[in-house]
Amino acid sequence: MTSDPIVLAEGETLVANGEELVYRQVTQHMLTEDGQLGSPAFSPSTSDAGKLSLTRSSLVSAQDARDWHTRNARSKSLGVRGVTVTEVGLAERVVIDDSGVALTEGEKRSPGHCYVDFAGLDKTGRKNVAAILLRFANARGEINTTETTEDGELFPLEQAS
Amino acid sequence: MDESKVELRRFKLTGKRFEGGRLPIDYLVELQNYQALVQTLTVAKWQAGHPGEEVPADLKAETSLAIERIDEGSADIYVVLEQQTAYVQYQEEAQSVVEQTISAAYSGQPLPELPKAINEEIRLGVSQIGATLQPDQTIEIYAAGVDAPPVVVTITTRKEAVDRLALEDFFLTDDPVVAGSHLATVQTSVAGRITELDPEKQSFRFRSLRYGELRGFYKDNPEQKENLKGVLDPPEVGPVVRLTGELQYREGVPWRFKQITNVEKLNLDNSALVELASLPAGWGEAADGEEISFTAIDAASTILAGIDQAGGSRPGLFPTTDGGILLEWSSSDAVRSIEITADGDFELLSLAPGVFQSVQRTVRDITEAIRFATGEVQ
Repeated sequence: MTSDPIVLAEGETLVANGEELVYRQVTQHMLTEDGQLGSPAFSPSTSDAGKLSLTRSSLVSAQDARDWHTRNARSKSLGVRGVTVTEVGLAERVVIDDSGVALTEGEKRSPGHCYVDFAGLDKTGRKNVAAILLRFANARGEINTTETTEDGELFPLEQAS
Repeated sequence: MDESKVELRRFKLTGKRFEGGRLPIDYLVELQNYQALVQTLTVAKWQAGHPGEEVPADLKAETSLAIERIDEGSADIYVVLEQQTAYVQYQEEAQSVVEQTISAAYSGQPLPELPKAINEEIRLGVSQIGATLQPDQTIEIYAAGVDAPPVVVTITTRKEAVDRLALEDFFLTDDPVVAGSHLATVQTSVAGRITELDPEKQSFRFRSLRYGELRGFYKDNPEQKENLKGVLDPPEVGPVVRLTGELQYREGVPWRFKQITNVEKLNLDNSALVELASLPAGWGEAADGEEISFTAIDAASTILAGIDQAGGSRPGLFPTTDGGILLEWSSSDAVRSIEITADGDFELLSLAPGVFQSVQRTVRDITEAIRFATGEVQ
């Protein structure tokens, strides 16, 4: 567990159930051609302001989380991986549920959204956390989902054509 | 307006999109382009007649064009001077030069003499005529009069015209940035494949990994011809090369190499590395990824060769948003990685089984990075 004091914003709560799985969407450039997951999957992008976005499995299915991502994010989800809250704790981080935080105009947040806060970590620290989470995610393997379909389609468009 | 006193300019658009005299809004760009060409040349003509004098503030506004009418059938557009002013003489001369340039570009005749300061700008503008056309469409420009045979602009004829406009006295413009225009030249390197060589024009075509098709010239460095010839091959098959030289941007988009100073075959036998070299800026999830640096690509290539030589297992390759490359071996037990920064530093990470604190260090020496990659050192 992080030794830094945890500061929660209004509307945020700590996810306390250590067994709960949190989902991470895998996008292009996080995966090699032969399916090897990379640690960039567990590093927040610069636009995430140090917050690694995840989805709570107790609230949303892996498939719904994947579908929401593909329909709303910049690039589609190629699959879902996951780590538990305890595993995040072993990397000295916590999982924060921010679903109660008011959205700013135009902002979107996925159902069941939560995040791992990388604030206060330098590059070495961020890479350490990402490597630990990658190792756990590798041990668990890919979480079973299928490619997101277009509304009203039985199969993904690319597959159907 | 009395047509007997005003000379009309006629543009006829054919194709389904224009049937019934319809004029799609996006086609107005074509007319705006034509107007901008005439206005630019009008200013130049006026300046030639008034050396040292300040250009009147109203000159451009007073020399705009207007659509007089659109006839039935396909869109048949007649354009006139919007206002009759003291500048009409310059404007008519300017129109004449624009039309001569268009005619010459599409017929293969020599281009008319253009004012040196705006030579390239005019040719660029003329080369952009027809940029909105689809395969089944044409623009007929009645450059010699509304009833004379027109210049026919199609995707095919335009390609030839653009080549002519680009090649003739191409090297007159030496300024790194052409004032008042949308051209900029930078010294840089670009990866891609040479697909065509034209020794007569000392030019080549280049399919760049990041920017698509580019043209280039080696007039200033004819010795590069043999280097280019050595790597010429059908696209997708030929070796990836790195061209270094003066890359000219138009409207912020890479356009052509004004000259090249070096042709270097890249040792990119790894398709993942070719893909990384192809990433454009903004590839990241938050549009934040920088182009992967050649320093990182070269280093990754060298390390991969070292691994192969030692019979080691190849890592997964991932781009980093800072323009570097991450080489990573990972399993459910351990993680090892080499992050090659855009500047060529090697950040080594090793997370051993059963521990939660990785060992990390940064080295500058690629030999040390290869030893790490092959497991000689931890």
